[in-house]
Amino acid sequence: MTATPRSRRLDRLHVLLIGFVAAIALGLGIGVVARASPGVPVLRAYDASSGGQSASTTSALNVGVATAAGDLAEPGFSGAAVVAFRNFSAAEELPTLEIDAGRMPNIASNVQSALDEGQPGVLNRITDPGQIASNRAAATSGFSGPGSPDEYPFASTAQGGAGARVAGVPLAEQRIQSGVLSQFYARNGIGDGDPFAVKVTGLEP
Amino acid sequence: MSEQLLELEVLPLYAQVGVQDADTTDLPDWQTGNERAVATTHAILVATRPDTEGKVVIRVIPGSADAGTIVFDGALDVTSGLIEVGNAIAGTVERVVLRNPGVHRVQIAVDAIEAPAVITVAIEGA
Repeated sequence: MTATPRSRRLDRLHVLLIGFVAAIALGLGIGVVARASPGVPVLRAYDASSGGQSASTTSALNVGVATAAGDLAEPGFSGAAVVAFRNFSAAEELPTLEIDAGRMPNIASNVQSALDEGQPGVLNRITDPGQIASNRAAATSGFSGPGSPDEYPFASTAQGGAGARVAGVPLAEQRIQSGVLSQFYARNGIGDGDPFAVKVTGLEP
Repeated sequence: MSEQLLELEVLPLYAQVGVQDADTTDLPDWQTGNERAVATTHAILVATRPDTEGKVVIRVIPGSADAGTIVFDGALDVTSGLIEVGNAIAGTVERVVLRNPGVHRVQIAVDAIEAPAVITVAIEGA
């Protein structure tokens, strides 16, 4: 979108305003603001980024308004210079799917290997059957056995598809995994697009 | 053949399909993964052939199973009055409205015990 001269001026004003608030926050020693009660607006200041790119170090300060615990609503500004998004200890706040190596040793091993190779540890569920089938086909197209192809990231996530790590596992393990995944989705209310973290437990080094 | 309430083709991700109360989160756990079916009060999971061998067909009929080998015969509590069948992880589920919410006798039969491709769900009082 092309910014108008007026909106550019507004953007500059917004940047100045953010800088002012940030300076106050830093000057007062405000770090991460504690969780708010749902519906209670708070100023939330947290390590973020410059230029809208996420960073793990304190290179800039972004501000926004949280209207519910863990949620960041419209920051009240517009313009490309304003960045306010969820960027704080995300994995800790997300529901976490645990892959138990005691029950699913082959799947746990595949998932851990995938994570070690750099596959994402946070996934977003998808529910479009066409996309899921497409992901599954793309991920397993080169698989020739033995066993049943198990892929990570899962085909039922936005991160699934071509490039997923695939290993042959017993079909029985996949059924167990499905039960665990179904319960996890249902009990945590994980719907289309919702993020969740994945962790392997019980895997011997 | 009985009057059919629903027929659904499903990609059986993880080699299974489900039959459950649409509102439940009380889902069963596979113990070994080699069971023919597992169930809770509100949900049943049925082993099928793997998705790599193709889709499977789920038929829902009223009354008793009219074909195949029975792998589940028991009670299902459908408090919501809506039975959901399919594979939720694959994103393919459909609902059947029951005349009466509550506990129904359900029989589930399959065409081939080792690698089911057709699953018949028979619901008494549907």
